[in-house]
Amino acid sequence: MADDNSVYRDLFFEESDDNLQELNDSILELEQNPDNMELVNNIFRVAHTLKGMSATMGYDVMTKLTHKMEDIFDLFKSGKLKVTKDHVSLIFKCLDKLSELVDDLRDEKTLSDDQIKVLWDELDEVEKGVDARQSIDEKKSSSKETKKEVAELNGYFEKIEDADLDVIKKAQGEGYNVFTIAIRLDAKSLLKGPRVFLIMEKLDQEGDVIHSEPTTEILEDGDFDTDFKVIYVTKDTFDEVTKNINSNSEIDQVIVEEFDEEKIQKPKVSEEKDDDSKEIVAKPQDQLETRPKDSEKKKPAVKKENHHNNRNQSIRVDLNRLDSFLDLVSELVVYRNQLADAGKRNNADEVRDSMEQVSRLTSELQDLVLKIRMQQVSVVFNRYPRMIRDLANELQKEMELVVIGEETELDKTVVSELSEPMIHLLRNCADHGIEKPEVREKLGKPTKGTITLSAYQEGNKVIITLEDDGKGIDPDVIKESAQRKGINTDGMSDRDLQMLVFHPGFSTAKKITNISGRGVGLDAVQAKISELGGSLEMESKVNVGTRITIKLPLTLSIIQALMIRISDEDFAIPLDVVERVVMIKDDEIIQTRQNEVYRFQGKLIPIVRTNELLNLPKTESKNKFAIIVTIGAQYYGILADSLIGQQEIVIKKIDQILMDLNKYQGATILGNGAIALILDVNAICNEKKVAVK
Amino acid sequence: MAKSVLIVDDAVFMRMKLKDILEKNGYEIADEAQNGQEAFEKYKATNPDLVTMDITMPEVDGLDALKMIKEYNADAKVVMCSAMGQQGMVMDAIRAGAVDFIVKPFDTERVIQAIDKALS
Repeated sequence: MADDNSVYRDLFFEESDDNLQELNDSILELEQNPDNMELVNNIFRVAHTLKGMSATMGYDVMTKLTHKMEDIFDLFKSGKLKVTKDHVSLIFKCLDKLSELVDDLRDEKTLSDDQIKVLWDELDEVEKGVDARQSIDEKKSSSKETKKEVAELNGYFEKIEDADLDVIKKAQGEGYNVFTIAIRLDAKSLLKGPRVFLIMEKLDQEGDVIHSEPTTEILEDGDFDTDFKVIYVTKDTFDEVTKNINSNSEIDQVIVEEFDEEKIQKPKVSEEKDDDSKEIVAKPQDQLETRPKDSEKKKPAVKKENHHNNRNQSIRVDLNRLDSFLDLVSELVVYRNQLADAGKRNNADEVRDSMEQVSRLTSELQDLVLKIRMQQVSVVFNRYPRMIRDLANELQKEMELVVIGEETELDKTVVSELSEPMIHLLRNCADHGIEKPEVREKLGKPTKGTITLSAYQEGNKVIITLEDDGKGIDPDVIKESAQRKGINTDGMSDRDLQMLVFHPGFSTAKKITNISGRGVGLDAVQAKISELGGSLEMESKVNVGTRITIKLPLTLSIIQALMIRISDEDFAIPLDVVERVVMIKDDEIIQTRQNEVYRFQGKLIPIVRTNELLNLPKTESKNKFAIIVTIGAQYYGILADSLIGQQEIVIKKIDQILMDLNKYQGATILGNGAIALILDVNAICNEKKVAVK
Repeated sequence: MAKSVLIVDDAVFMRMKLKDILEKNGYEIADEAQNGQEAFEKYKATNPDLVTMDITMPEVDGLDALKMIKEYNADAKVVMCSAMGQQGMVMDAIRAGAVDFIVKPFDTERVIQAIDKALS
């Protein structure tokens, strides 16, 4: 395994776990609704991501299996293969295998093709079955044959701490018995968490469970497959322990063994499993024999495994806890505002004094929690140069990736969510953007293509640009391809046509490649970026290159806003888009042919009459305020009756129906308890632009 | 002598199904109860070998009934009947001394396995 990737291992594992979880959930759902295409698309997309990630890390075995799985999902997608129970079982087996592979990787084991051979062949058979149009029955029988191939239950432990070993030795010295117990629950067992809890309760009555794999937390959440293992210290005899465990229902298999330090480590895969014969494997009902205790001397402490990289002195914080911390602070900000309001009205000095403190504290707290959540984009960016290098080899192209501003910080959620869309974009750059060296030479470009990835902070946003000096996106090619796919391109500008690549299901690639796939990706990128509250723009010139600009909010929940009043209603406008506020008289608004404009800095800018837009009654005031905002490179003037002031507000989500109006991006609670809607300036102004056309 | 079971569930259908499963497998039905209070009264009256106790019931729920029964007879054997998604309640019941639990929808084999084990 390449060492340079080791820093990103944690992130890879975190994401793999998430993706595997999502696949598990989606496939479970798919079994219920085999015809849900949206679900199939989603599954395909996640598998695709997983493949991309493992390829990036250079985990070939995992890539191979995911690629094959992706093929099957593609068959589901195209309707060539029906989703049957057998297929679903097979996929679940693959997912289990993937989790196993990820676990092995986590323990820094080297994977071998043997681990996936059986499943790969099975998948291959299903795939070939489709090609040869075999009857479904045949396929069924072929996948049933291998159904029995579930890994054997074993008593090996991944990691036992020295402290535990000390306890074990001490306990043995004091006449306690120490057993390793491996338990497999019934595959169909429901509520696994409580089931384990019950087993543990019974064990705890007679002794102590000093170690478990997975951890008790995972076990009690039921977040495991069927197997778990514990080390148990007790006065009970072997028979009593076995009886105790077998008094539980829904257990498929149990192995109880005397603790032996040398037998708890998994033997090397290459070694023959001659140990197996000594193991006592039995159905719960069966009589168990006692195995004579090994009298061999114990080896000194087990090799200390150190998975964690100490490069960054950081604490791993449960994101849920961090989230609730942020929630609490958000609430606090609301109350602070309320208190400020009360202070103003009663004019009580004391309220104001304590208020100052609360204010200072909450601001600090808020800054702090936001900072805790901040993470450098380098965490994800640094994985890309390796990926580009591998892609260059694979595609036989010359290219390099230049990364600028990798120390830029973003909210952790945004950073980790950013990884997949960026991978998609980079892969597209490498695959479709950069030309082959010969082609580049003919065009008078350096043979080596350059992809520049940069990040920087601008106000409340982080701007990420991805630029290549490749062939660009040819609007004519897009147009042709779109028409072939039945997309209406009438009246589209070149720019509109280029943006079509972000249209769901649109792919210009003539054939499927391992690199950028089959038309999933770019639409997913677009969706992901808007989900994060960001925006994406693209400029592309044929034979010059393509530049994609992504703007992301620094944080997702607290913003500075300008509070305004329109027809006696309060609204908030995010301060970062506000350029300036001017007072204007009615006669300063100039009526053009179909538009109202205002002269600002020597230019005419469109005026948005918010009361008309929002269906609010008109107010008869001569003086109005125009909030000058910048959207893209264009100024707009949003009219307001009066200004309330600048305020820090907590964004609360609003109902989807309101969101669908496309005029509000959320709501906030004001100091006096009233609710103000936050105007989605972007959407409002874009609507204006469309109307102008 | 056949072991006797008190079936507690607020749904008639569930009681019927459990009764059917148990009777076919050689158990005797001590009585049936449709809420926690009734369960406690009938437990005292019939003194069954085992109780199957639904968790969600009107008035006195299964958890409270379990506690009442355990207080009356610390050795009472109570198997909880739970629906998916009641992890927390099941955990509480185990802490309060339930011997086992079965998850709805009931599977005959599973019910019998749990009850056999609880009574062995």
